[in-house]
Amino acid sequence: MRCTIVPPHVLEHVAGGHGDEQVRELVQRTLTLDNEQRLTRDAAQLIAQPPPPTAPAAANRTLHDAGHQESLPGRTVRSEGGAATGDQQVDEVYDWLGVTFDFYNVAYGRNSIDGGGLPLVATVHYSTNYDNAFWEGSQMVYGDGDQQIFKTFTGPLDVTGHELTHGVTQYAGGLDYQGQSGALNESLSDVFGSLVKQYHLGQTADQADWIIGQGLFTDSVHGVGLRSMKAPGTAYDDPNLGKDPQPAEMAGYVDTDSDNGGVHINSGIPNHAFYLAATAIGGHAWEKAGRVWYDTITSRRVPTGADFAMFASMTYATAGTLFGVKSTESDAVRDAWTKVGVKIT
Amino acid sequence: MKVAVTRSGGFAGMVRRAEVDSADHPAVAGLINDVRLDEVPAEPRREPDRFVYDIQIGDRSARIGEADLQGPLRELVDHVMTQGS
Repeated sequence: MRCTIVPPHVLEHVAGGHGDEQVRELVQRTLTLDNEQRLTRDAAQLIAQPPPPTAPAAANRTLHDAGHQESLPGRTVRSEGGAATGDQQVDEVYDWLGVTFDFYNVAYGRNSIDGGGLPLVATVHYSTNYDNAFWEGSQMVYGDGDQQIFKTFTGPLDVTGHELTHGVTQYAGGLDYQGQSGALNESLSDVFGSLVKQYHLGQTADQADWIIGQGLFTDSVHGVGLRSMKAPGTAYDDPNLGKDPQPAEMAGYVDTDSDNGGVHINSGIPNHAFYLAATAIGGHAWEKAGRVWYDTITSRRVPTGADFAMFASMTYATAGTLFGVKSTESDAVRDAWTKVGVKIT
Repeated sequence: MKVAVTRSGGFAGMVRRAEVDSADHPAVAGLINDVRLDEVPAEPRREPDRFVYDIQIGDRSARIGEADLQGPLRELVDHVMTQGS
Protein backbone atom coordinates (compact mmCIF):
# COMPACT_ATOMS: atom_id res chain seq x y z
CA MET A 1 0.00 0.00 0.00
CA ARG A 2 3.07 2.27 0.17
CA CYS A 3 3.31 4.74 -2.70
CA THR A 4 6.62 6.48 -2.01
CA ILE A 5 9.09 6.11 -4.82
CA VAL A 6 12.17 5.86 -2.64
CA PRO A 7 11.73 2.96 -0.24
CA PRO A 8 11.99 3.89 3.46
CA HIS A 9 15.02 1.67 4.04
CA VAL A 10 16.96 3.65 1.42
CA LEU A 11 15.94 6.93 3.00
CA GLU A 12 16.99 5.63 6.40
CA HIS A 13 20.38 4.74 4.96
CA VAL A 14 20.82 8.24 3.56
CA ALA A 15 19.57 9.89 6.74
CA GLY A 16 22.12 8.00 8.79
CA GLY A 17 25.13 8.30 6.51
CA HIS A 18 25.01 11.43 4.35
CA GLY A 19 27.77 13.93 5.01
CA ASP A 20 25.72 17.00 4.12
CA GLU A 21 23.85 18.16 7.19
CA GLN A 22 21.08 19.77 5.13
CA VAL A 23 20.46 16.65 3.08
CA ARG A 24 20.34 14.52 6.23
CA GLU A 25 17.85 16.86 7.81
CA LEU A 26 15.70 16.94 4.69
CA VAL A 27 15.68 13.20 4.38
CA GLN A 28 14.92 12.78 8.07
CA ARG A 29 11.92 15.12 7.70
CA THR A 30 10.75 13.15 4.67
CA LEU A 31 10.89 9.97 6.71
CA THR A 32 8.99 11.51 9.58
CA LEU A 33 6.40 12.95 7.25
CA ASP A 34 6.15 9.65 5.42
CA ASN A 35 5.51 7.82 8.65
CA GLU A 36 2.87 10.30 9.71
CA GLN A 37 1.16 10.06 6.34
CA ARG A 38 1.33 6.30 6.46
CA LEU A 39 -0.22 6.19 9.92
CA THR A 40 -2.97 8.57 8.84
CA ARG A 41 -3.56 6.58 5.69
CA ASP A 42 -3.62 3.26 7.56
CA ALA A 43 -6.06 4.65 10.12
CA ALA A 44 -8.31 5.96 7.36
CA GLN A 45 -8.28 2.60 5.66
CA LEU A 46 -9.21 0.84 8.88
CA ILE A 47 -12.31 2.99 9.09
CA ALA A 48 -13.26 3.55 5.48
CA GLN A 49 -12.33 0.36 3.63
CA PRO A 50 -12.75 -3.36 3.95
CA PRO A 51 -9.61 -5.13 5.11
CA PRO A 52 -7.01 -5.36 2.33
CA PRO A 53 -6.91 -8.73 0.57
CA THR A 54 -4.49 -11.08 2.26
CA ALA A 55 -1.24 -11.71 0.44
CA PRO A 56 -1.57 -14.46 -2.17
CA ALA A 57 -1.10 -17.81 -0.46
CA ALA A 58 2.22 -19.42 -1.28
CA ALA A 59 3.85 -22.56 0.03
CA ASN A 60 6.78 -22.20 2.41
CA ARG A 61 8.64 -25.49 2.24
CA THR A 62 11.73 -26.67 4.09
CA LEU A 63 13.24 -30.09 3.44
CA HIS A 64 15.51 -31.89 5.87
CA ASP A 65 17.63 -35.03 5.65
CA ALA A 66 17.67 -37.31 8.71
CA GLY A 67 20.70 -39.18 7.30
CA HIS A 68 19.04 -42.51 8.25
CA GLN A 69 18.96 -41.47 11.91
CA GLU A 70 15.79 -40.74 13.86
CA SER A 71 16.26 -37.25 15.23
CA LEU A 72 14.00 -34.62 13.71
CA PRO A 73 14.04 -32.49 11.74
CA GLY A 74 17.62 -33.28 10.62
CA ARG A 75 19.95 -31.31 8.35
CA THR A 76 18.30 -28.60 6.21
CA VAL A 77 18.84 -29.44 2.54
CA ARG A 78 16.35 -27.31 0.59
CA SER A 79 14.32 -24.21 1.40
CA GLU A 80 11.46 -22.53 -0.46
CA GLY A 81 12.59 -21.39 -3.90
CA GLY A 82 15.88 -23.25 -3.62
CA ALA A 83 17.27 -25.20 -6.58
CA ALA A 84 16.72 -28.93 -6.93
CA THR A 85 19.27 -30.88 -4.90
CA GLY A 86 19.66 -33.95 -7.10
CA ASP A 87 18.53 -36.09 -4.16
CA GLN A 88 15.44 -37.77 -5.60
CA GLN A 89 13.60 -38.08 -2.30
CA VAL A 90 14.20 -34.46 -1.34
CA ASP A 91 13.08 -33.15 -4.73
CA GLU A 92 10.03 -35.42 -4.98
CA VAL A 93 8.75 -34.34 -1.59
CA TYR A 94 9.44 -30.68 -2.36
CA ASP A 95 7.26 -31.02 -5.48
CA TRP A 96 4.50 -33.05 -3.81
CA LEU A 97 4.24 -30.63 -0.90
CA GLY A 98 3.79 -27.88 -3.49
CA VAL A 99 1.07 -29.78 -5.36
CA THR A 100 -0.79 -30.58 -2.14
CA PHE A 101 -0.54 -26.96 -1.01
CA ASP A 102 -1.91 -25.78 -4.39
CA PHE A 103 -4.71 -28.34 -4.26
CA TYR A 104 -6.03 -27.15 -0.89
CA ASN A 105 -5.56 -23.53 -1.89
CA VAL A 106 -7.20 -23.71 -5.32
CA ALA A 107 -9.93 -26.26 -4.55
CA TYR A 108 -10.98 -25.02 -1.11
CA GLY A 109 -9.25 -21.66 -0.57
CA ARG A 110 -7.25 -23.12 2.30
CA ASN A 111 -3.88 -21.49 2.97
CA SER A 112 -1.77 -24.47 4.03
CA ILE A 113 -2.49 -27.19 6.58
CA ASP A 114 -3.75 -24.92 9.33
CA GLY A 115 -5.50 -22.44 7.04
CA GLY A 116 -3.06 -19.80 8.27
CA GLY A 117 -0.03 -20.34 6.05
CA LEU A 118 1.72 -22.94 8.19
CA PRO A 119 5.24 -23.60 6.82
CA LEU A 120 5.55 -27.10 5.37
CA VAL A 121 8.40 -28.99 6.98
CA ALA A 122 9.44 -32.46 5.89
CA THR A 123 12.23 -34.90 6.70
CA VAL A 124 13.37 -37.62 4.31
CA HIS A 125 15.78 -40.56 4.73
CA TYR A 126 14.33 -41.23 8.18
CA SER A 127 15.74 -44.29 9.97
CA THR A 128 16.87 -47.36 8.00
CA ASN A 129 14.70 -49.60 5.84
CA TYR A 130 11.78 -47.61 7.22
CA ASP A 131 8.50 -48.73 5.63
CA ASN A 132 6.44 -45.72 6.52
CA ALA A 133 5.61 -42.06 6.22
CA PHE A 134 3.79 -40.10 8.88
CA TRP A 135 2.57 -36.69 10.00
CA GLU A 136 4.36 -36.10 13.29
CA GLY A 137 2.00 -33.36 14.51
CA SER A 138 4.00 -30.49 13.07
CA GLN A 139 5.96 -31.97 10.18
CA MET A 140 6.13 -34.78 7.62
CA VAL A 141 8.49 -37.74 7.94
CA TYR A 142 9.38 -40.20 5.16
CA GLY A 143 11.25 -43.49 5.13
CA ASP A 144 13.18 -44.88 2.15
CA GLY A 145 11.35 -48.23 2.33
CA ASP A 146 13.09 -51.58 2.61
CA GLN A 147 13.34 -51.92 -1.21
CA GLN A 148 12.20 -55.56 -0.91
CA ILE A 149 8.48 -54.89 -0.46
CA PHE A 150 8.26 -51.11 -0.36
CA LYS A 151 9.98 -48.53 -2.49
CA THR A 152 10.56 -45.07 -1.07
CA PHE A 153 7.49 -43.45 0.50
CA THR A 154 8.36 -40.17 -1.17
CA GLY A 155 7.35 -41.53 -4.59
CA PRO A 156 3.53 -41.55 -4.79
CA LEU A 157 1.87 -38.12 -4.57
CA ASP A 158 -1.10 -39.52 -2.65
CA VAL A 159 1.17 -40.54 0.25
CA THR A 160 2.05 -36.88 0.79
CA GLY A 161 -1.59 -35.86 0.26
CA HIS A 162 -2.67 -38.48 2.80
CA GLU A 163 -0.18 -37.41 5.45
CA LEU A 164 -0.73 -33.65 5.10
CA THR A 165 -4.47 -34.29 5.38
CA HIS A 166 -3.83 -35.80 8.82
CA GLY A 167 -2.56 -32.31 9.60
CA VAL A 168 -5.67 -30.68 8.12
CA THR A 169 -7.90 -32.98 10.19
CA GLN A 170 -5.85 -32.18 13.28
CA TYR A 171 -6.21 -28.41 12.77
CA ALA A 172 -9.90 -28.80 11.91
CA GLY A 173 -10.53 -30.14 15.41
CA GLY A 174 -9.35 -33.71 15.10
CA LEU A 175 -10.85 -37.18 15.07
CA ASP A 176 -9.78 -39.63 17.81
CA TYR A 177 -7.40 -42.09 16.23
CA GLN A 178 -9.18 -45.28 17.26
CA GLY A 179 -12.22 -47.27 16.22
CA GLN A 180 -14.72 -45.63 13.86
CA SER A 181 -13.53 -42.04 14.44
CA GLY A 182 -9.99 -43.28 13.72
CA ALA A 183 -11.15 -45.02 10.55
CA LEU A 184 -12.85 -41.75 9.49
CA ASN A 185 -9.57 -39.92 10.16
CA GLU A 186 -7.79 -42.46 7.94
CA SER A 187 -10.49 -42.30 5.27
CA LEU A 188 -10.31 -38.49 5.05
CA SER A 189 -6.58 -38.83 4.42
CA ASP A 190 -7.20 -41.40 1.68
CA VAL A 191 -10.01 -39.32 0.15
CA PHE A 192 -8.00 -36.10 -0.09
CA GLY A 193 -4.79 -38.00 -0.88
CA SER A 194 -6.56 -39.46 -3.91
CA LEU A 195 -8.13 -36.10 -4.79
CA VAL A 196 -4.72 -34.38 -4.77
CA LYS A 197 -3.54 -36.96 -7.29
CA GLN A 198 -6.70 -36.60 -9.42
CA TYR A 199 -6.31 -32.79 -9.32
CA HIS A 200 -2.67 -33.07 -10.37
CA LEU A 201 -3.55 -35.40 -13.27
CA GLY A 202 -6.68 -33.45 -14.22
CA GLN A 203 -8.80 -36.58 -13.93
CA THR A 204 -12.56 -36.89 -13.61
CA ALA A 205 -14.08 -39.38 -11.16
CA ASP A 206 -14.52 -42.03 -13.86
CA GLN A 207 -10.91 -41.62 -15.07
CA ALA A 208 -9.26 -41.92 -11.64
CA ASP A 209 -7.81 -45.24 -10.41
CA TRP A 210 -8.97 -44.63 -6.79
CA ILE A 211 -5.92 -46.61 -5.62
CA ILE A 212 -3.96 -45.47 -2.57
CA GLY A 213 -0.19 -45.98 -2.81
CA GLN A 214 0.00 -46.96 -6.47
CA GLY A 215 3.71 -47.36 -7.24
CA LEU A 216 4.75 -47.97 -3.63
CA PHE A 217 5.23 -51.74 -3.94
CA THR A 218 8.31 -53.18 -5.60
CA ASP A 219 7.75 -55.37 -8.66
CA SER A 220 8.02 -58.47 -6.46
CA VAL A 221 4.63 -57.79 -4.84
CA HIS A 222 1.36 -58.94 -6.38
CA GLY A 223 -0.73 -55.82 -6.00
CA VAL A 224 -1.62 -52.47 -7.56
CA GLY A 225 -1.31 -50.51 -4.31
CA LEU A 226 -2.25 -50.53 -0.64
CA ARG A 227 -5.95 -49.76 -0.76
CA SER A 228 -8.68 -49.46 -3.36
CA MET A 229 -11.49 -46.99 -2.76
CA LYS A 230 -13.31 -48.36 -5.80
CA ALA A 231 -13.13 -51.98 -4.65
CA PRO A 232 -11.84 -52.23 -1.07
CA GLY A 233 -10.23 -55.60 -0.37
CA THR A 234 -8.78 -56.03 -3.88
CA ALA A 235 -5.64 -53.84 -3.87
CA TYR A 236 -3.20 -56.71 -3.29
CA ASP A 237 -3.17 -60.47 -2.90
CA ASP A 238 0.36 -61.66 -2.33
CA PRO A 239 1.93 -64.92 -1.13
CA ASN A 240 4.04 -63.06 1.46
CA LEU A 241 1.80 -60.16 2.40
CA GLY A 242 -1.55 -61.91 2.28
CA LYS A 243 -4.69 -60.28 0.96
CA ASP A 244 -5.93 -56.69 1.28
CA PRO A 245 -8.18 -56.92 4.39
CA GLN A 246 -10.41 -53.91 3.75
CA PRO A 247 -14.20 -54.25 3.86
CA ALA A 248 -16.39 -52.16 1.52
CA GLU A 249 -19.52 -52.33 3.68
CA MET A 250 -20.56 -52.29 7.35
CA ALA A 251 -21.39 -56.02 7.15
CA GLY A 252 -17.64 -56.62 6.84
CA TYR A 253 -16.58 -54.24 9.67
CA VAL A 254 -13.55 -55.75 11.43
CA ASP A 255 -13.43 -55.67 15.23
CA THR A 256 -9.78 -55.82 16.26
CA ASP A 257 -7.40 -54.52 18.91
CA SER A 258 -4.48 -54.01 16.57
CA ASP A 259 -3.88 -50.89 14.47
CA ASN A 260 -5.82 -48.75 16.98
CA GLY A 261 -8.94 -50.78 16.30
CA GLY A 262 -8.34 -51.44 12.62
CA VAL A 263 -8.29 -47.81 11.49
CA HIS A 264 -6.50 -48.75 8.23
CA ILE A 265 -8.92 -51.65 7.65
CA ASN A 266 -12.34 -50.18 8.35
CA SER A 267 -11.49 -46.96 6.50
CA GLY A 268 -12.48 -49.03 3.45
CA ILE A 269 -16.15 -48.41 4.31
CA PRO A 270 -16.17 -44.57 4.28
CA ASN A 271 -13.62 -44.69 1.43
CA HIS A 272 -16.05 -46.64 -0.70
CA ALA A 273 -18.93 -44.35 0.25
CA PHE A 274 -16.92 -41.38 -1.03
CA TYR A 275 -16.08 -43.22 -4.25
CA LEU A 276 -19.77 -44.05 -4.81
CA ALA A 277 -20.87 -40.47 -4.17
CA ALA A 278 -18.13 -38.97 -6.36
CA THR A 279 -18.74 -41.28 -9.33
CA ALA A 280 -22.52 -40.84 -9.10
CA ILE A 281 -22.09 -37.05 -9.18
CA GLY A 282 -19.43 -37.22 -11.91
CA GLY A 283 -16.92 -34.63 -13.09
CA HIS A 284 -13.91 -33.61 -11.01
CA ALA A 285 -14.41 -35.35 -7.67
CA TRP A 286 -12.77 -32.57 -5.66
CA GLU A 287 -15.32 -30.00 -6.84
CA LYS A 288 -18.54 -31.43 -5.42
CA ALA A 289 -18.11 -34.64 -3.39
CA GLY A 290 -14.74 -33.37 -2.15
CA ARG A 291 -16.30 -30.00 -1.26
CA VAL A 292 -19.01 -31.77 0.76
CA TRP A 293 -16.46 -33.81 2.72
CA TYR A 294 -14.13 -30.80 3.14
CA ASP A 295 -16.87 -28.46 4.38
CA THR A 296 -18.06 -31.16 6.78
CA ILE A 297 -14.69 -31.84 8.41
CA THR A 298 -13.80 -28.14 8.63
CA SER A 299 -17.22 -27.13 10.00
CA ARG A 300 -15.95 -27.58 13.57
CA ARG A 301 -19.18 -29.44 14.28
CA VAL A 302 -17.80 -32.97 13.93
CA PRO A 303 -17.18 -34.41 17.42
CA THR A 304 -13.72 -35.93 17.88
CA GLY A 305 -15.36 -39.27 18.64
CA ALA A 306 -17.77 -39.22 15.66
CA ASP A 307 -18.81 -42.60 14.29
CA PHE A 308 -19.61 -43.44 10.66
CA ALA A 309 -23.36 -42.77 10.98
CA MET A 310 -22.82 -39.35 12.54
CA PHE A 311 -20.27 -38.30 9.93
CA ALA A 312 -22.48 -39.65 7.14
CA SER A 313 -25.47 -37.65 8.38
CA MET A 314 -23.32 -34.53 8.54
CA THR A 315 -22.10 -34.97 4.95
CA TYR A 316 -25.72 -35.34 3.85
CA ALA A 317 -26.62 -32.14 5.68
CA THR A 318 -23.64 -30.36 4.10
CA ALA A 319 -24.68 -31.54 0.62
CA GLY A 320 -28.16 -30.15 1.30
CA THR A 321 -26.71 -26.78 2.29
CA LEU A 322 -24.39 -26.62 -0.72
CA PHE A 323 -26.61 -28.03 -3.45
CA GLY A 324 -30.15 -28.24 -2.04
CA VAL A 325 -31.88 -31.00 -0.10
CA LYS A 326 -33.53 -32.45 -3.18
CA SER A 327 -30.47 -32.09 -5.43
CA THR A 328 -28.83 -34.96 -7.29
CA GLU A 329 -25.69 -34.29 -5.21
CA SER A 330 -27.58 -34.78 -1.93
CA ASP A 331 -29.21 -37.93 -3.26
CA ALA A 332 -25.82 -39.26 -4.37
CA VAL A 333 -24.36 -38.73 -0.90
CA ARG A 334 -27.32 -40.40 0.83
CA ASP A 335 -27.35 -43.34 -1.61
CA ALA A 336 -23.59 -43.83 -1.26
CA TRP A 337 -23.76 -44.21 2.53
CA THR A 338 -26.84 -46.42 2.24
CA LYS A 339 -25.02 -48.74 -0.18
CA VAL A 340 -22.16 -49.29 2.26
CA GLY A 341 -24.63 -50.03 5.05
CA VAL A 342 -24.34 -46.77 7.00
CA LYS A 343 -27.71 -45.35 7.96
CA ILE A 344 -28.20 -41.62 7.76
CA THR A 345 -30.22 -40.33 10.70
CA MET B 1 11.33 -68.38 26.48
CA LYS B 2 9.20 -67.31 23.54
CA VAL B 3 9.50 -63.63 22.58
CA ALA B 4 7.02 -62.39 19.97
CA VAL B 5 6.49 -58.99 18.38
CA THR B 6 3.48 -57.93 16.31
CA ARG B 7 3.66 -54.62 14.49
CA SER B 8 0.48 -53.01 13.19
CA GLY B 9 -0.43 -49.57 11.86
CA GLY B 10 1.75 -47.38 9.70
CA PHE B 11 0.59 -45.80 6.45
CA ALA B 12 0.34 -49.28 4.91
CA GLY B 13 -1.67 -50.66 7.84
CA MET B 14 -0.10 -54.08 7.38
CA VAL B 15 0.49 -56.46 10.26
CA ARG B 16 3.93 -58.04 10.65
CA ARG B 17 4.71 -60.68 13.26
CA ALA B 18 7.97 -62.31 14.29
CA GLU B 19 9.11 -64.46 17.20
CA VAL B 20 12.24 -66.03 18.57
CA ASP B 21 13.09 -68.45 21.37
CA SER B 22 15.46 -66.68 23.72
CA ALA B 23 17.34 -69.98 24.15
CA ASP B 24 18.54 -69.59 20.54
CA HIS B 25 19.30 -65.87 20.80
CA PRO B 26 21.72 -64.90 23.58
CA ALA B 27 21.24 -61.21 22.76
CA VAL B 28 17.51 -61.55 23.38
CA ALA B 29 18.10 -63.53 26.57
CA GLY B 30 20.28 -60.68 27.82
CA LEU B 31 17.83 -57.94 26.82
CA ILE B 32 14.89 -59.65 28.52
CA ASN B 33 16.55 -58.97 31.88
CA ASP B 34 16.84 -55.25 31.11
CA VAL B 35 13.34 -54.78 29.76
CA ARG B 36 10.63 -53.47 32.09
CA LEU B 37 7.26 -54.18 30.48
CA ASP B 38 5.48 -52.88 33.58
CA GLU B 39 6.94 -49.41 32.90
CA VAL B 40 5.33 -49.19 29.48
CA PRO B 41 2.54 -46.53 29.40
CA ALA B 42 -0.85 -48.13 30.10
CA GLU B 43 -2.36 -46.77 26.89
CA PRO B 44 -0.32 -46.48 23.68
CA ARG B 45 -0.22 -43.02 22.14
CA ARG B 46 -2.71 -42.82 19.31
CA GLU B 47 -0.96 -41.00 16.49
CA PRO B 48 -1.76 -41.15 12.78
CA ASP B 49 0.20 -43.71 10.77
CA ARG B 50 2.67 -44.55 13.52
CA PHE B 51 3.49 -48.18 14.18
CA VAL B 52 1.99 -49.93 17.19
CA TYR B 53 3.87 -52.87 18.74
CA ASP B 54 2.42 -55.76 20.71
CA ILE B 55 5.25 -57.39 22.62
CA GLN B 56 5.00 -60.76 24.31
CA ILE B 57 7.76 -62.11 26.56
CA GLY B 58 6.76 -65.50 27.95
CA ASP B 59 3.43 -64.88 29.66
CA ARG B 60 3.92 -61.12 29.96
CA SER B 61 2.76 -58.70 27.29
CA ALA B 62 2.52 -55.00 26.54
CA ARG B 63 1.37 -52.68 23.77
CA ILE B 64 3.48 -49.65 22.94
CA GLY B 65 3.52 -46.89 20.33
CA GLU B 66 6.53 -46.42 18.08
CA ALA B 67 7.39 -43.03 19.61
CA ASP B 68 7.70 -44.56 23.10
CA LEU B 69 9.78 -47.52 22.00
CA GLN B 70 13.28 -46.82 23.31
CA GLY B 71 16.24 -48.32 25.12
CA PRO B 72 16.49 -52.08 25.67
CA LEU B 73 12.88 -52.64 24.57
CA ARG B 74 13.64 -51.01 21.22
CA GLU B 75 16.73 -53.21 20.86
CA LEU B 76 14.69 -56.29 21.71
CA VAL B 77 11.98 -55.42 19.18
CA ASP B 78 14.51 -54.66 16.44
CA HIS B 79 16.29 -57.94 17.11
CA VAL B 80 13.13 -60.04 17.01
CA MET B 81 11.79 -58.27 13.90
CA THR B 82 15.03 -58.74 11.97
CA GLN B 83 16.15 -62.14 13.29
CA GLY B 84 12.86 -63.82 14.10
CA SER B 85 10.58 -65.85 11.93
